[in-house]
Amino acid sequence: MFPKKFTPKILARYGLITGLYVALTWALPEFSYGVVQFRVSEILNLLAFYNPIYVIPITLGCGIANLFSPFGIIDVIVGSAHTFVSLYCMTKIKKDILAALFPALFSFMIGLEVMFLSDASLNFFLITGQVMLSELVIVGLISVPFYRILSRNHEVMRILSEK
Amino acid sequence: MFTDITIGQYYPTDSIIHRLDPRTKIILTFVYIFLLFTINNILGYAIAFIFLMTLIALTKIPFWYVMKGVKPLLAIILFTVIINVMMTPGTPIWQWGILKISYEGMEYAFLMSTRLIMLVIGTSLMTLTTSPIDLTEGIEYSIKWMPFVGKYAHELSMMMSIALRFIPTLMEETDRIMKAQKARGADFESGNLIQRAKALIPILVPLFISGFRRADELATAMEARCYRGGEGRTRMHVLAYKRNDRVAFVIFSLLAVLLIGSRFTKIPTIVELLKGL
Repeated sequence: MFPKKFTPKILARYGLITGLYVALTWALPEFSYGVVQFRVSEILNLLAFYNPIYVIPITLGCGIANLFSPFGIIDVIVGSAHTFVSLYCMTKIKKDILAALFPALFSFMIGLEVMFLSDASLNFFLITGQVMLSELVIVGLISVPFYRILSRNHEVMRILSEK
Repeated sequence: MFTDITIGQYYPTDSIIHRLDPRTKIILTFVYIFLLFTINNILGYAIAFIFLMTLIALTKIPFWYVMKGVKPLLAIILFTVIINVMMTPGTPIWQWGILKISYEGMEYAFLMSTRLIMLVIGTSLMTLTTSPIDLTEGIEYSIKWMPFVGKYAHELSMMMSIALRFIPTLMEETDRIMKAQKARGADFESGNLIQRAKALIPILVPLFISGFRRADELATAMEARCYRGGEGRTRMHVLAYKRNDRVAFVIFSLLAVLLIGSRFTKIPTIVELLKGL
């Protein structure tokens, strides 16, 4: 997951994926932050299943994108931790459909954050449920078929699987 | 479509807060969050509120622009108010079955929503007053001392800088690819979920390929300029704490004393004040 040495090529490629995540999040800000979240950029999460080196840039992208979320720096820490844990677990699984469940599985972390900040325990269920649903739709329902189709393109897969 | 979005929410003005060192703003944002959670009575909230309003005035950012940050959370705030009003035990004003509204519930809901709004506004002031590039630099300096992550501080900061530099390029590229595919008859706006996911393929395949090509060109350019990581690298702008930063730390220390002190002050609750009237 962590390269032995950060060569310019690795840095530039990591920067690209980080930038792609942030750009996709900021392109639709009204759906990327807040209670009803539907972050299109989460489609990149499944990249970590195909190549574990993308765990770091996607986590970093989530951190940068969250700098501009309503909870700011708290969201940076919790959101990045959620992405990191989910993506790390994804890299340990052999089946894409199972790997795609991790972001939804760990959505309770976001629920706990909002529950703690708002001091209302029912918010935990509200936020966890909403994030879980959006992760299931984006990472499970959309990303899995999307990457299966994408994996038929040998040129893209060659680039994406380079270590 | 994608070309007119603003990067982040930075609002440039020439204020004393904008000129603070990004590290100062990062550290003090954490201190502010911690202090908000130490408040336990109306006096503490009043002090924090006056402090926050003064801070907003000092930033020279229009008040409505600062309040925009609260909008995405209106539903959470409303829901929190309803839960707290209904669930907090106390003297009931209105009761219907298990649902009841009490004076204590209303007071608690008011204080909790105030805290939530002050938290959102306070934390957004950091990103409103610091440009993404300054934030990147501030984060690099701030994480240097951390175990494990610290040794990758330069690399992480470089990745963030490259990412921020790539964002406008990627936006432009996506827009160009979408127009090119539409000109070839691609349809991105109709069909079910799977069809729409499939429609993303003709965008993302050229985007990935051209993006990686650009990244590799950038890497070649970096190598040609003898880039060899953070070791021995000098900076054009070196971050250094100035007088204003020291003043900011002193002011926050005073705020901490006042807020922690207010915890131990016997202040009547809003309910007691209302009953007194």
